[in-house]
Amino acid sequence: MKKILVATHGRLASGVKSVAEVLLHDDSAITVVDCYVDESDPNEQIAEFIDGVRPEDDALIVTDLLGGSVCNMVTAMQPEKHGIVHVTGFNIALILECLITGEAFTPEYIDSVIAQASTSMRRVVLRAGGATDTDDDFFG
Amino acid sequence: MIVQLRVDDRLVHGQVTLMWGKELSTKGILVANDAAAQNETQSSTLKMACPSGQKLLIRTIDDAIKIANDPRAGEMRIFALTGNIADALKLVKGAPGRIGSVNVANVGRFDRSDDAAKVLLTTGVTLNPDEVAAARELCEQDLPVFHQVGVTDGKVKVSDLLAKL
Repeated sequence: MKKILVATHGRLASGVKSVAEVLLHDDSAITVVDCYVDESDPNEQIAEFIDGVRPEDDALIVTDLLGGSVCNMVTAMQPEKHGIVHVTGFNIALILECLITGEAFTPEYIDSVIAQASTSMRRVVLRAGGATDTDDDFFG
Repeated sequence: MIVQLRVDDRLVHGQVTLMWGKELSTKGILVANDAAAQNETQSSTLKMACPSGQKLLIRTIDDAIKIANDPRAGEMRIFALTGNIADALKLVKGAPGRIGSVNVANVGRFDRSDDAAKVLLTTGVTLNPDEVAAARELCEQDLPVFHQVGVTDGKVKVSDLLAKL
């Protein structure tokens, strides 16, 4: 089973789940932890997710900011010992790719998704760049 | 051939287009839209949203019909997009046998026609009277016409949805 935990400062995690619902009509793989919005302990919620992962699951934890307390909290729990990959500094392209892929969440696969998704954060410049314009290019 | 013609009022939009390209194993995206084909800014925006590894052609409806009928299109798996049902109908009628199916996914939400005259066919599909007429005629053509937003969603026949109006 595909299981993705999104843990962030504030309600960004819930927002990510909302994006998945709008774009894919299915956010069931996503568990969220909105840290520090109330008095609840995010450690407990993250530990509960890790405990719930079975060896046959494809599990991923994404956090918002390298060196931030949420990232550090997850790092300290050593999710890799449970076969869970941890990615920090995510973007939506990465989340969507992980949701729609049929690939197993190996470290190598996740590295390839990070490489691809990273190219989608860029300064936007309007130009023709790369796409084809002639019929011959299209069919070629 | 055009494996699927998708009616989507956002035309090419990032991950969703990428997902359908993978699902249908298509190599090229044909956008059939008069406004986009004749507006440099709009066509550039669509090009930027085109997934890497996919070829993109933006054409008016009339030119898209020529592309669909081009012999080379018979050997290539193409994903086509129009922004409304009337355009999809023109393409289907102009290229008989060249289009596998029509997916009426998202339409009518931003077409600036009179909201009071529109009917809700299903979530994300809001049709003015012209679009309802085009949808009825489209369902009479010899190909499957369905509504399926995402690849994991079920297909619903558009004729069944129209019958409930």
